[in-house]
Amino acid sequence: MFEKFTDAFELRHEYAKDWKRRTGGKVVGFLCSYAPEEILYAANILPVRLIGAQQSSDLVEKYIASNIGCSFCRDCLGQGLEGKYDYLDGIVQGQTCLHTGEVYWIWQKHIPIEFSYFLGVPHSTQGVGRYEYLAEVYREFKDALEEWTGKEITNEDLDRAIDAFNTNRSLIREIFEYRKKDDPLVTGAEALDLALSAQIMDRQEHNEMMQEVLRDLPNREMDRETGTRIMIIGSVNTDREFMQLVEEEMDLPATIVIDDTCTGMRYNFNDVTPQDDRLLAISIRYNHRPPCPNKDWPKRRRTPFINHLLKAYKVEAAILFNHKFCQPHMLDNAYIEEMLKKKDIPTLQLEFDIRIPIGQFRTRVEAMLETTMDII
Amino acid sequence: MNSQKTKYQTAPMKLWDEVKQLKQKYFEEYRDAKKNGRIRILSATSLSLSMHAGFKDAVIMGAEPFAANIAFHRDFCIKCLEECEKHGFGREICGYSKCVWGAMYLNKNVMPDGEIVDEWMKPDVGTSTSLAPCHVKWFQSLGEASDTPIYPFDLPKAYPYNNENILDYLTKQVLDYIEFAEKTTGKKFDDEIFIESVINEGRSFKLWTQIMLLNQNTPAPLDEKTIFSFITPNLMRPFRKETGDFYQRLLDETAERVEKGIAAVGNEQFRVITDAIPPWPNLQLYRYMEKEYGVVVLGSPYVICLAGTWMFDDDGKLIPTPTPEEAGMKLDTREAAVRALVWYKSHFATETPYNIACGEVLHHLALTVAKQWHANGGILHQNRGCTMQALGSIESRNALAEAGIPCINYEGNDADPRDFDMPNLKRKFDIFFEANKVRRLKKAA
Repeated sequence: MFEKFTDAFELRHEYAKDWKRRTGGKVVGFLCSYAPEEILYAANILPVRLIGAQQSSDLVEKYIASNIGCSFCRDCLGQGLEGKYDYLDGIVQGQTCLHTGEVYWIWQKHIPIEFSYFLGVPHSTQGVGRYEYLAEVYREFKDALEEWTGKEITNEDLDRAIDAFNTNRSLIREIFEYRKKDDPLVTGAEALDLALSAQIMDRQEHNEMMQEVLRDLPNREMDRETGTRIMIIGSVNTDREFMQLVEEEMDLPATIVIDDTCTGMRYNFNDVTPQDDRLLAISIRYNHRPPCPNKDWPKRRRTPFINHLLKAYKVEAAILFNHKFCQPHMLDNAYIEEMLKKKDIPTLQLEFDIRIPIGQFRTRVEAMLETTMDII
Repeated sequence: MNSQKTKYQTAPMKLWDEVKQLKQKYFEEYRDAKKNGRIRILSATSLSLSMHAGFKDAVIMGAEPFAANIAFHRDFCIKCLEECEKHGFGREICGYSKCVWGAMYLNKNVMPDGEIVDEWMKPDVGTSTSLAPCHVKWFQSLGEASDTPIYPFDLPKAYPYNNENILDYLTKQVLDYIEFAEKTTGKKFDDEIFIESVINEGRSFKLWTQIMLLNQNTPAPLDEKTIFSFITPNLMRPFRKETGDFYQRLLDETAERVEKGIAAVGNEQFRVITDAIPPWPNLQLYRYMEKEYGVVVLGSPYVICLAGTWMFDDDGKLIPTPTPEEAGMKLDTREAAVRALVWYKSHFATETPYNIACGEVLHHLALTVAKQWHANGGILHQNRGCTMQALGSIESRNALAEAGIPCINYEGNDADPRDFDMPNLKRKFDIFFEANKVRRLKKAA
């Protein structure tokens, strides 16, 4: 049922090239989920999230040291330097962490690209004046896109884009609802493919695919044991191998029922509430979305969000992961682990590198599952 | 004058003892604040310390010099780092954060003269900026663990400068902060003192740029290790008239050294720039380069911009930014003074060039400094204690190398003495200098 999403994601470069051929439109890559995709889409541009391939590349070492740069970002840059994204017409970064920022600057300097734009998205999404400031940043961005494409972006264009993205997020949430069941009808690996494929596809096409799934999903029969209900908490998760390891390769059964990641629920949790000033409406959405650690201050809004998901998805154990050298998540993880301990939720911290150490992770996850199954 | 025969005459700085005493005095004022019925404000130095100066009962401490002082005292620093590691914060987390958290957990601190104090000097208010994400998370955790009210500023993309949207956004935040601090501390903010402080900061920062420009001369009158000590007044009291007076005297002394050909390094034969916060617990590295190879470290985008405000002119040269007064800005109300201040400081000032949003110009800035200060090479610190600076280090090296300026990166840590391999670094430097035909100096008999 979810294979088509897996295929779309795995063949993401072919999909984007085909989309260009079919539509004659431009394709723009973005690094972080704080890039305002709605505005790109309104300009008839396909926004595609830049994602690594769990492959090291020697080409990266010339620009980012492996003893300081985030593993995910190095992987992304490696893909760019290897030419895997040679179909991109542009690259956009919505400011978040140091690492994605550095990749952006290196990319626009060293990989030939027609258009590049850095949006100064607020670091904090709680401060005074943030909505108006970001809306103005969007206005400047919209002007730059119009100049590049030679086409005005009208309110109707923005409405069409907002509707496509709101529908997309809402359909993803609807499918995720089936993960709340005692025996979830969607696995974590499938949910990951669903969410990732959204971020590289034309949203209207992706919406149609999800509507088809939703027709059959209520009657789906799962031929697997649910086992321990796990939540994963961390940054950007694109590691299908890890999800399958947890759900399919353990001696004890487990299902990843929900996540707090920027490729999953954080990305899809809230919509744009329409208003006359479309750019302000989009600004409010990005300011209100569940934050990543970089933007979660002075108050910790992640904590109530995680608590909400723990309850709603009946989570029994948590895996906190961070990419190697991802300081913002390292900083938050110490705090979140403490919070989860107080709730008696078994917690495991894992550090992802470009490739994960399968054997070690299997042992560690298995050990955590044993604590939740009361078999020791 | 130094009696040993050298290529250039050399002499210690006349203001050396005074600046050391000033640092000790600033820390003592901060330590004794409570005893003297005053409040403590611990503030990021980026953006500006002058925005606190309207609270006349406040003793203000720059957060980075506060942390760097701990880092400098190796034994105490290691205790702080280990204490943080017990609390779940790993080796790769911002070194400055861990120094200050460690002091907080231990409830101890260290004075510049090495005296251990039996309290960590908890602030009444803390402010941070999002210059690096770790900086605000540093203060978030500090606020939670010590029950200190925190106001973190969102420092947006600061290049190109003079963007009205950025100025509006920053101005709103500073005005909001003043109201927040008034409510939190119960103290009234004095606009007249504040306006005077903005004028004073402009003067002090402008003087710093003039002093730094003099280091373009050969021989260089100052070396970076010495410069590190002279940044202190602008990182702790830029808003005081006495600070401007001090820098005027430093400017005069530096100009006199240039006029008389007095060198910082008597055997200057190779001029280099660096790029980042130095390894505070291991500054002897600078003396190694000087004594063994006659290398003078001229400065860096870090230290040149740390206590001065710069901009590019139309020819791409780095020039001092006009102060708000010089730019003809009216400073007659709190709002006007705040706007003028954020306009002035949102150029290349303090550490803004390192803001991730400034990757656009960071490497160009390093190259510009190397060229304008007539550097023969670059010794760039891949600072594992500060991701913000370390991430751009390789690209700065690339920029210099492409311009024909030989350059190396070395791995170190601004705040973790354990993360530094001196014997290997010396070997690496030997190879670099020998490859660039810098002959080793003969030892004095």
